[in-house]
Amino acid sequence: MSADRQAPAERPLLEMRDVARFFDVSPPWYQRLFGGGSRRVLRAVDGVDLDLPRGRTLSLVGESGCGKSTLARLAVGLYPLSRGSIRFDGMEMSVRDGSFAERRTRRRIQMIFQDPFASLNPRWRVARIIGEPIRVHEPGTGEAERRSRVRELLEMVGLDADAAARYPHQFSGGQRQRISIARALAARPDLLICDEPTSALDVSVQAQILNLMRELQEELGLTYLFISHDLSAVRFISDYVGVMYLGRLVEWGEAETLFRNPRHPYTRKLLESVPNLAEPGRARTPIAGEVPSPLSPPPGCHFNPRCPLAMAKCRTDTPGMVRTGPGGVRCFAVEEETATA
Amino acid sequence: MLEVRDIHVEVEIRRRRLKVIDGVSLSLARGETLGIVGESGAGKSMLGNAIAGMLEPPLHIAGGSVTLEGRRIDDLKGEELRAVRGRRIGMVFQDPLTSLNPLFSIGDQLVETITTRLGIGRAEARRRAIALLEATGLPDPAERLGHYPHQFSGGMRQRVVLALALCLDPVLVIADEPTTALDVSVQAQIIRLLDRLCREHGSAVILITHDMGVIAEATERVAVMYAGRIVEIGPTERVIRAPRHPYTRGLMASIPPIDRRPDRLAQIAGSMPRIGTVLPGCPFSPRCPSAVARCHEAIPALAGGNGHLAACWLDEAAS
Repeated sequence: MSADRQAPAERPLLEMRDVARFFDVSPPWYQRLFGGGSRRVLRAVDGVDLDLPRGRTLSLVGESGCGKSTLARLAVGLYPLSRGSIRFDGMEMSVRDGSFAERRTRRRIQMIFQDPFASLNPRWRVARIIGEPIRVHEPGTGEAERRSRVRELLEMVGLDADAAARYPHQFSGGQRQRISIARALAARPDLLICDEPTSALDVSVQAQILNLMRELQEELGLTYLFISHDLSAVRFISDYVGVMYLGRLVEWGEAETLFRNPRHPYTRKLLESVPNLAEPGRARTPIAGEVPSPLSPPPGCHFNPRCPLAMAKCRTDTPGMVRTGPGGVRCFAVEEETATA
Repeated sequence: MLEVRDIHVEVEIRRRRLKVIDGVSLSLARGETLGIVGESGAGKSMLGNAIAGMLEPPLHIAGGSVTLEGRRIDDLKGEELRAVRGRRIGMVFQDPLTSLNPLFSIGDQLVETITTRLGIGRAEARRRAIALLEATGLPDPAERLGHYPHQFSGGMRQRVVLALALCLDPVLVIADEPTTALDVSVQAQIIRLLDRLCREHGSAVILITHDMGVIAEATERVAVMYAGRIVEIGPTERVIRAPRHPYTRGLMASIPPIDRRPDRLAQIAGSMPRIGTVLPGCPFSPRCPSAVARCHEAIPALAGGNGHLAACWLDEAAS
């Protein structure tokens, strides 16, 4: 997949502008009254701008608590936005009027979850699991047609037709993830949000699922928003990558560029902390310290306490996104470097 | 120092005896680090538990022996077993919360372990505990002794577990997926720490993980397990650079590379046989791309020179 496949003038399928989601995690009012606790707000996602071109894959990476899963859930509409806007194919998704147009648009965004054991109804046969989205979104479909669609979908994800009569527990983890993909595809989506779809799988099975996802993308022209903490999987699947740290997007860009020439100190450290199989025995350089609690992130740039390049300014001010080619970086050090260069 | 000879682990379910570990032998020198890698269901954790005498019934050792420092430990029971396990073997698990009691402060847990096993006074034990925690890089160890497990972050908890595993200077530490639940940046810290602490205490390590990256970074030798058997064992660098068993080759090829983007990943067809599947031949033969008739008929033994062995009929060492 080369970068020139998409015409530059085409509007991105998914546009996120200043997207934010805050959670109120205060203790109950009576505890605040008697115990003197105060209101606490968790800024899970705080002002993210991202575009996802049609037919491509954007991955969000970061460590636990960085907000990548929350951002994915915002994109599907599982949470309302606290601020900002998300447009899908030009339509504002934060408007929830329950209209026919809204329902028709929402159908085009489907989700695949991490745990294929928890996300399939254990009491339903596979035929019903995959047939349900067809029943809901295309109520006019007859029984026979639905059955043949299910068979088609099973074949598409590499399962035998007789899988339709069985229950989820009769399948391995990898096969269940194939069923989840078939169910998502049953709604004829344009955008698939995949939240750690291979994290619960063994590497040999992960390879099967990642290959399948790329084949399906070619075949059906799907767009993926891929969430993962596994940078090797991300490298294989993505055209674009966004790196998140404590609720903020710190860097994004074309995957190739980002992996070859990471700009933000956090991205660099993150990539260095991946063990390289080409050089066994080479010790990784760990990042100093741990991710601070997202409840009380450090002021200024959230990464400053762990950053080797931190300056006085980084502890007080929040850097803005500086554009670098098609992507961007939020870092004062990179800003100065670019200004002097 | 540690000698595992032809160990078999079985479980009886509905009158059927299922083999979980099927004849594994390995040895470990003092201070050495051995990795055990494999996918879920390969039996790697069971092997660790069998060595530590921690199999939960109905799982049991059905044959073979485990010798630690010249003494058989696989048939020990009760107090004798606890003495060996507590004193000579330290354990680290994936989830630090399973190793720590939520009702006691970490200081109580460390001090109690040290006083009961080493028979020294509480004040002395406390000093040792503080020194140990300091060595793990836990900030303000003296003050944090009074804290409970839930007051620590995941990475910090795993540091406490490492201190607990090493507080009696064990000759062997068995670490079962010690970094799997942690973020990548913290993973590297814990692997380094495990390596440094075991060096300082002179402990040998068995590092069980599904992550080839961790194996590459932290072990000298590695054993690859498949369906309850070791299919390949050798110096880590050689196993990774020039794997001899088709399963190891498939496993290595299915890991997405970090430095480039291929169009397709190599994948191993099918999945591992369920526990209890009895095959007359090599357990990998149904999925093996190069299997020949002989592979389906008889089980190959580990063979090879220079400490790099593979169990494969197609390997030149076998013929």
